[in-house]
Amino acid sequence: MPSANLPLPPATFFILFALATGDKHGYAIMQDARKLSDNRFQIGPATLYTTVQRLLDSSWIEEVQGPADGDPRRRYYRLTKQGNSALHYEMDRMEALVRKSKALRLRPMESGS
Amino acid sequence: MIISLQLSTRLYARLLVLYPEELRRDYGSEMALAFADDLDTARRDAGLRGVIRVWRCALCEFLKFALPGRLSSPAVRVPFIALAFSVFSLSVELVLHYSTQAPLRFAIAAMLPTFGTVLTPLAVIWACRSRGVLSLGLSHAAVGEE
Repeated sequence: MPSANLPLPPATFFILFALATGDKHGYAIMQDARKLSDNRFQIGPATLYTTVQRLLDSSWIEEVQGPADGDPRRRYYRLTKQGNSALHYEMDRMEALVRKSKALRLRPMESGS
Repeated sequence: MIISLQLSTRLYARLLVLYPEELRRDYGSEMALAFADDLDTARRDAGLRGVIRVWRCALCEFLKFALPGRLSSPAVRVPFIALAFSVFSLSVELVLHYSTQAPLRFAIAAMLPTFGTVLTPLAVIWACRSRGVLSLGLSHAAVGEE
């Protein structure tokens, strides 16, 4: 996974993050992305499926068969090995940034200052 | 509320016509399904505020994904700009007219330039297109970057 792809755009990151916990269809990815971001990031259908198509093209996710009792109108997606390593590269990058900011004892500025 | 949800879903499905063809062809039905589910969940969780949030997101996406593709064609761009300019001028006139009157009327009039400038030309072009008045030989190459 080339580090040139980092940082991942937020939609890409949250889609990969949502799929890290199992196969999901589009709407489940949208819901998970919202939950994982504590309601701070919302993916709409157009952003979701545009990004899904790009991730399919780069083989970071793949389409899989849904559960037998699932809605046949929905397609399910799975994180591939490449997608998984991209997600972990990104998380490592974020973790390193947090570590650095802690080492520098950076704090948010007080409002009005 | 259920009726308004159905209307919202139908309106979204209509709006999909203006999205890039590739995206619409491959994912249109799932996009409409995801929107309907999202709207339903948002209404149950947060009521009207939730519905507004979902629509705001959908409209932002519309401006980001659908509008640039549409405006890439001169057949749409020229009438769009002309109509937008006309609506904007008219709206400003209305705002100035109502500025001396009741605050509520002024507030309503002040919203016109914002919404009317974009939505009126789009509605007109959309109506023309669905009646075959405008033939849009558009390229849908750009599915859009984030």
